[in-house]
Amino acid sequence: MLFEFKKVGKAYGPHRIFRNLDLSIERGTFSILTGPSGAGKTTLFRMMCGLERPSDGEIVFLGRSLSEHSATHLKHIGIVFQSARGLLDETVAYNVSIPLLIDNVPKKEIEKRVMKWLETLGLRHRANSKYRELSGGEIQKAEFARALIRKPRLILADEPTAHLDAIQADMLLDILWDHYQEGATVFISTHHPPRFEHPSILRYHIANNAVKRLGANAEVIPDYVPDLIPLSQLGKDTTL
Amino acid sequence: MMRFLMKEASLLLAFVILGGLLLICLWITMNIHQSVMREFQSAQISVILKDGSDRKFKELVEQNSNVIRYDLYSAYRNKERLSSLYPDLKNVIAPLEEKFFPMSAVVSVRDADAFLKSLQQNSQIFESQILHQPPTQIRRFASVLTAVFGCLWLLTLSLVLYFNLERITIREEPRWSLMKMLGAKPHLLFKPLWTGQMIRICMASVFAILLAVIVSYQIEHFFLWTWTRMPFSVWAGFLVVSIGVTTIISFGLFYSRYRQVAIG
Repeated sequence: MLFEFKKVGKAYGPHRIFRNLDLSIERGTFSILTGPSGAGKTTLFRMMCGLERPSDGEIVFLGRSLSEHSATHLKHIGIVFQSARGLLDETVAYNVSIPLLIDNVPKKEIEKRVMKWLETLGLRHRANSKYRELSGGEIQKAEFARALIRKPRLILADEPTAHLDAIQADMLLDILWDHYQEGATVFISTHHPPRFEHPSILRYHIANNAVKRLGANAEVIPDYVPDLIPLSQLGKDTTL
Repeated sequence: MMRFLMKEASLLLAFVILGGLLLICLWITMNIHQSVMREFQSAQISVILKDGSDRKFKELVEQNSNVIRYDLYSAYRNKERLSSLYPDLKNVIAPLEEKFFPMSAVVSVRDADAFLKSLQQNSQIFESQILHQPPTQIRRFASVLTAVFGCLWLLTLSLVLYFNLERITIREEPRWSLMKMLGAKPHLLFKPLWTGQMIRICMASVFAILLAVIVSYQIEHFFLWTWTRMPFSVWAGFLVVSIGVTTIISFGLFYSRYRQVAIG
């Protein structure tokens, strides 16, 4: 088990977001979280990263309470938030390279990996542009590159395609899918569940201070037809 | 931002001046210790002994660890000394009997007050008076002044570092927050911050040393005395202490601010 929420509660003053939340996320799964705005998706993500502490209960990550992990556990998690977290006065290349600088990766290797990611995401021509000069979509892609450049074991993405058009959104989801197939665990919150119709994708729904595990697409969607896979996955091996 | 820089610049100037004053005080204190104290290191006490008490007096001073040395003068020797001291009165002194010239002693002690106290217990045998006491007040004053400048210098250094860090925190908060989110350890963020502080403090310390050197030359020029130069180890020590204290204060301030920065 990668994550386990044990009777977790979270409240901001009188406003309670979660009550007695029990939730588990298995290793090597691709999951999506749906729910109305303000239901607590971002709070759940922040608690999973350890950026926010639960008011009650315990979160267990890789068999140990999250509070027992040092901040370095975040090196194993690639986080993409809805809004930009990058340094606005630094270049795109620098922003993407920060995780590798933290890991003390040699300069040449950093340059190679950063350029490869920028190339993949169509941002190479923007490598030396300041972050603040980028469009919303470009920033989203750069945030993606920064989160994935370390090849994390867990990817948490909070509405990662919110600022992107359909083609670019599909491209990013393809990249996430590749990571998942290489063994990473992916957990995404989204308002667009139809994009995620692969039969093995797990669905969670958040509402009324609780998160409910709905199950895999194949079990959840009535009369599931394997043709309902995303366009971007056509031609790939989609057998369960 | 301008106000911040002005505040920092004035504090840095205060740091240089106080550092210079601290060094000069240290230099003067050292000179007082080395020159004045060398000459008058111990107190000297003159003791008039009553008849037949010399043996008891000898026992007392030889057992007293406070006594550095003593010289006994017999009645005859005292008469001779007086004659040589006042040659005009030689004819008057010569016929006088020796009983008019009591036996005496000059005792060098480390602590005059403690020795006098021990003599008081035998007041029926001895009479005593202090001939000379080292200028302990000056020494104490110079030491207190050095301590005061040392404290002021430390306070200024803390203020310089605090205001500098405040400005940096405002500028760097998004970076610290992002780095925290990406799992960076605090020392990774502290290193560049420390380097900046270190360059600033080292430069200020060098200026303080230069200021102290210039002022000490002026003092040597205007006050003719046997000044001894400040050894190189003191200048180097000042620089090392500045670096050490800067590191400790900077890390303390940085860590308390770093903990307050929200992750992500």
